[in-house]
Amino acid sequence: MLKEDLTSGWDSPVPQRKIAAGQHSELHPVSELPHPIIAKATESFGPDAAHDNYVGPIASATQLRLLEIKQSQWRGGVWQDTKTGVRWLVVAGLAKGDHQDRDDFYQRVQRANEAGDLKGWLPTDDDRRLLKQETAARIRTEWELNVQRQVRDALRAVQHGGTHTMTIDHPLSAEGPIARVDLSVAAVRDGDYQADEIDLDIAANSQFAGSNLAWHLTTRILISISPPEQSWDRYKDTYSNIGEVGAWAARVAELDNFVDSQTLAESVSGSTSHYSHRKHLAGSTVEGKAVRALCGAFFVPTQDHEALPECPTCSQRFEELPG
Amino acid sequence: MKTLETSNIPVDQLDELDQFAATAGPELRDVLMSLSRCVREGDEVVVIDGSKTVTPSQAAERLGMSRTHLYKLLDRGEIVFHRVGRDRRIRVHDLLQFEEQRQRDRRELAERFAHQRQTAAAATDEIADLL
Repeated sequence: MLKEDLTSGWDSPVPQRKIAAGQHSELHPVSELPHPIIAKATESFGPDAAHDNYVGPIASATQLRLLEIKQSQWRGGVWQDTKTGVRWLVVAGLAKGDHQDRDDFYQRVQRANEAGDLKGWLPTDDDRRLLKQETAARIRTEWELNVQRQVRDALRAVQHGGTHTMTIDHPLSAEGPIARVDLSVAAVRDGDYQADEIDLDIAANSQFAGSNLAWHLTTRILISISPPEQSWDRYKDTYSNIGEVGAWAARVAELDNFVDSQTLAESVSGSTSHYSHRKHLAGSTVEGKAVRALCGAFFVPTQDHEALPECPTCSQRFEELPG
Repeated sequence: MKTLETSNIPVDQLDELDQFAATAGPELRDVLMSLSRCVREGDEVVVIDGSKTVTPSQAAERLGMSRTHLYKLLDRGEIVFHRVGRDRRIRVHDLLQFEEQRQRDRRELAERFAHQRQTAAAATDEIADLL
């Protein structure tokens, strides 16, 4: 449908290029693609079927019940999957030449109906898979926002010291909990060393241990607490970070903004360039493998790594090297 | 305990070492190959008497962490220690074992941070499979 029916009328050339190249997974979400008839379909059929807004069934389609939608010259036919309740825009086209033109939308529907081709318009397995992925992506984002909110609440509880335990549910509530997370802050006041140390124990339920979902949860929690990637230490399932005195109270205030605006915090990769052996090995940039720097930090070299200011610890150690 | 400084060895010299190692006997070859791999990956090469012990303060300094954090690891049984009177002592061997695991885990975390987009896409697929 996207490829054959919507050959013009796009508000942007990008989707057409991706459709032509078959990069379907890059089109998400399909229901928000910038085309007038897609926009019309999306606004005409909402979550509540009672408020659906369409012209009526297309009379010439007797083999398949198609609901008609109109947007200026564009016409579309929407089919409802009675098993799942999902509505699919399966055909679209232009109304042409007072419906006498061979390419006219209604003419095409009628010809296809007579030839018994309407079934061919129904969603394929690929279409259903794309819909599933799109739904899953939406669920994942909602879940991450929830996790961020939970971390904010936990951090507020322990910002000056103490331990807080939270249970994180799987994005699909029917799957139950996915992990138990203990968050503890120790306010260390050791004369010359003053810090608010934070420890995080992430115990994923066995069936999710090592899954990408569990890893994604881990990075989401870490980013919520402290975005700089290289600020984290790790031993097994314990993640630790050292904050200045009062750092976590300040972070709670920042998280409030993210939670209120429904946006996700993003991680910050290293802001300095490190010395490392593998610097000379272009391979690790390509493979995405982490290397160890002279200062002990691990990082995955990127193309622009060299352009950053030098890490002071690395520079100092490099200077101290013999020869 | 002696730490060998390896950071300034040029990569082409390591390549030569590998070539030589390939011609050596099996026992020496394994040693040279693992030495070369450690140097390439930026790991430290340490020659130690593993039975030597260190105090918690020395251990914390060696690992580059705060004493508070090290004591927490001892209390949780993550690093094996024994007592001499009231003081705790840690065998260098046990410290290195802990450090090896820690380096592996930190390396993995750095890679997971770098590949967030791929992990996110794979996490989406894991959800989609259950729909």
